Amino acid sequence: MPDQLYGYNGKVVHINLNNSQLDISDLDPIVAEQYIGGVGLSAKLTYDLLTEEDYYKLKENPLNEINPLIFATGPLTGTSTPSSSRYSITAISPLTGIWGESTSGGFFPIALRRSGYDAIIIKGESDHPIYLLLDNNQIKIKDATHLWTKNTYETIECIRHENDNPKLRIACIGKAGESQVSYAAIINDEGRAAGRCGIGAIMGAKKLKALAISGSNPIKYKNNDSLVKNSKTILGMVSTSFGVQFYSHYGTLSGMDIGMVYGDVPGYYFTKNEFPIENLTGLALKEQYPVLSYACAGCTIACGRRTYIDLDHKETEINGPEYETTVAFGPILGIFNFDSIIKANYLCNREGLDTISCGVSIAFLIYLVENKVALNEISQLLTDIKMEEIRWGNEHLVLKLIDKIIEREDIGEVLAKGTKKIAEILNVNPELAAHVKGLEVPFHDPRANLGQALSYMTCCVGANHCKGDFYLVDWGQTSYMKIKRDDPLKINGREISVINMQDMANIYDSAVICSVPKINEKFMSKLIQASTGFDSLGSVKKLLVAGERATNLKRVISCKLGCSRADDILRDINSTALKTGVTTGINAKLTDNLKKYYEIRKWDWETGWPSEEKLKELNIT
Amino acid sequence: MSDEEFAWYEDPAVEYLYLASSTKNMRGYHAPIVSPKITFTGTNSFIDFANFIGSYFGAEDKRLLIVVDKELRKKGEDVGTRLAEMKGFQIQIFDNVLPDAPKYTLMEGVKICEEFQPKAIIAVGGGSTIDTAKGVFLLYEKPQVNLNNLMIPTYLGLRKKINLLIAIPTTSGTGSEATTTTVITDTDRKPPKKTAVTLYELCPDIAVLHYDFVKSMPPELTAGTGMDALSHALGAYMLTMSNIYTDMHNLKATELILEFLPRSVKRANDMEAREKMLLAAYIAGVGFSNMVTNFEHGLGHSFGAIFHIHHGVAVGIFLPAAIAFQAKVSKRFIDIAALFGVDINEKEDDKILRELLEKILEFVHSFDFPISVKELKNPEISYEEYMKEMDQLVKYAYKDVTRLFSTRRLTLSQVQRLFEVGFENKIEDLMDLFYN
Repeated sequence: MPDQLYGYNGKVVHINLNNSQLDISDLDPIVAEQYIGGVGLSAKLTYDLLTEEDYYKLKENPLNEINPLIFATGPLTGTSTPSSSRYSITAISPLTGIWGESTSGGFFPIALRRSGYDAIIIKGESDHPIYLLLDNNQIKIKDATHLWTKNTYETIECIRHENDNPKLRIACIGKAGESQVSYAAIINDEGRAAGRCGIGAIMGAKKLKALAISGSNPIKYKNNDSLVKNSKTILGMVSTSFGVQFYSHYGTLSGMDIGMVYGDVPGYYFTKNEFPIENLTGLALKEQYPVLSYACAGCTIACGRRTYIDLDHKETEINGPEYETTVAFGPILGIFNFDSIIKANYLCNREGLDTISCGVSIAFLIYLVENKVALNEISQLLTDIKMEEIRWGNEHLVLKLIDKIIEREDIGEVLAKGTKKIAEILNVNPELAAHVKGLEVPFHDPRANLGQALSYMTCCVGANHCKGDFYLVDWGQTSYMKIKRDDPLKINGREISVINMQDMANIYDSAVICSVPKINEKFMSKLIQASTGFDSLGSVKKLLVAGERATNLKRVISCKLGCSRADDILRDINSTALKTGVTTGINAKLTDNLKKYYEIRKWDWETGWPSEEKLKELNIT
Repeated sequence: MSDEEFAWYEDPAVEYLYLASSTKNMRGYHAPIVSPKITFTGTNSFIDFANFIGSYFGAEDKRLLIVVDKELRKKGEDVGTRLAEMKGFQIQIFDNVLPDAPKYTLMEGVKICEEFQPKAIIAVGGGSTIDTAKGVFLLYEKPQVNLNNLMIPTYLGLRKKINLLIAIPTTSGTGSEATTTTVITDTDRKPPKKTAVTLYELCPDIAVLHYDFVKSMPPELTAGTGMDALSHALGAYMLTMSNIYTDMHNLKATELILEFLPRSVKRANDMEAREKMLLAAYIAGVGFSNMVTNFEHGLGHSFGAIFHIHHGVAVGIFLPAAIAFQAKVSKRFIDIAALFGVDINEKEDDKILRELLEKILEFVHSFDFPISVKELKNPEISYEEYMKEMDQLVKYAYKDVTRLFSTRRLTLSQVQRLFEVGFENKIEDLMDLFYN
């Protein structure tokens, strides 16, 4: 065991909101070496915290106060590593009922990294709204009664004002988190969202309005020279990368019209992949509105967008829209102009909603009505919305429904629970609900890239394109781990590549850095070793084992919460072949590929659990 | 050379890259604007050109190679004589111009260049002649170049031997006087292979647009080449990889063609119409050359090759299908519909498209020209004959470079569907391409 931890704060703080008690402990170096930080470390902390009884309670209700909410950074966060301002947030997801995680960028991650703690674990539930103020190791629990019902922009402004510190970095929830919408997001730095898995609802349940940090705690690195030298080399590679230049010019919307070429962009609730998106490209956004780039701290790519629109006769800066949000409030709803998309984006940022789950949930409703399914059940949930208003392309309806979801009002109460529950409540065929394990399928159509389909099916949190973005492999935009591009409509024999991509995603999210620059495994190994001095992570093979360990531990947690092989599927709506377009005739059921995946992972085909052998091999006990 | 070797655009490894490069975002990243440096127009255009070129070259460099086909050799000689008399140029004529520019004929031209060492090449003729001139120019400058490996964009550093490439079109359609592409049949390969070569440096430096050079075109050729120009403009406009520069050219060219093509066909001596059509073809050439042609060209290339149909007729036949097909993924047809006089206000998209397609058919019929395979008179092609060749039609068209740049992805079955629709171009069939 090393006598000093490099690359870390070396501390973990447990905050119990039941009694306002703080408990600070040292970060175990062995845990740090095995799980690196971020989502890996958080999974280990969660696993060690929860008892069998806790799992039982959380299975009943993920909003139970025992659910550990963990904010964490990793040994590369806020270093000279390009695009390293990122943090992770984890909990048992209120949307999926299994392991949940999300990451976000901006400036907040740097403050969190310098807060003096590698992980902030929040348990219990306050009896009144509070926020946490961390000012260089000092933690204060402050009253937030006056902030409750304020939107995220107002909350950030108020907290800075009342603490007389405009440099405070803040992550908070809006009304959606307060009302515990199952896919509520946590918003930091005005519009940066940790959206997936609905962890904002956990904050709402704990009555935790915000986390505000002013941090300048120094961190020692084992070999800062090596860290800087390798970072410079990577920066040179990143700045000349063709794909990255596109991200700089057009943000993630650079994927819109390229995606159309592959049949990757789904429309009309995943039933079509040919429609006019010419007014929804990254270039079109810049032609139609003033758009400035937004860079997270220290990032040279600047893929974020700041778009200026007239809102109630006032020019308003909107953070976004990025690709997923554009599809979420665009083609998936049969909408093909930016105006309502940007407004919906603004509502979601303002009140803290995951745009993907929100868009898919609304699309599900429209799909049901357009196909005359469950009309009686739906009509009983409508008050001021008429059935005939629920149709593709109705921009006003979408904005109205977002408001109702945030308020959890009439039909919004059902839509706020996500597609899996919507199908249950409306008693419709569950195969029509576009989710994996309860998490809504994002907008890289599984039929357009079967590697992505397998990744969605097996991803630790449900359908998440960031936890193994395999579609980019076959688009020729990633080149690590000797994974070669191939026909996106073929995956046989490439299951191992899907696994490697997932484990690599765990490395990024544990280190914690942004995945956009796609730093390869060799550089990741060099950087993590330079930061931490852990010799074991200096080997690519062992680094990937750390990624694999995180994957398996998260799977164990999810299995304890009831996840099984039966959940590793894409529903018919996402897997049945389309009748027109580029992917005509391609279905994404992939049972044989799943079997191969299980064999390689050494997971039990009957139960879905990682085998004893695998757990032993990975030192998961 | 092995017959296994394929042109760069047939390589599956680059196919996706070029499909992706047809995106609008890509056009915000890479969109050089290329056109001739000087285009002489108006009734004095030839004199203006002669004065320009006379002062451009010193006495020791006044050597011109004129490329012209055998049929128009007299016209080429006239140009040469006038330039020799007016400005003291030495002239050589190369007249072995064949359709699709076989490489061995180009090498004959190269040989003349090596001996005569011209400082400028003047093409006097239609598309094949100008393509031949471009080919001779390319192979004279870079004899070792691999024609199959010239991915867009490639920069070869031409004009080390030839200072000016000049085009004087004798038809109003190909736009080759303003484009960066030449089609060369690589006869070193077994079997010979037709390859589209696109280099920004192949755009002529000078174009001379004078109605004297087009006034003898018979009505069929006027209509056929006019349909080629219309297909360039409308087809390219439908692709979302268009940009501001190509849009303004393609829309203006369409306007001119709608007004002046029927007049040109009706009266060969309507010189204003002739001149406007020359301009329209040139403008459309700039419009499509700064992007690509649509897939009506891929279909037309295949159809023309198999049934020996004039290029303009062949691409024109498939223009309605290409527009209807792309309309599913682009609303750009609405702008075109407005030019055709369709009332686009408060109307559903499908209704606008239907009216546009009707107007296109009506327009072509207005000068008694065929706009479907079934309407062809010379040769007549029966449905059975057509369907018999379907596999080959589809195979050739699918390999055409224009497929890579289609906004809406083309599968083999969709290519077949487009061919099937083109047999009669029934409105319902065309609309089905939009709906499904």
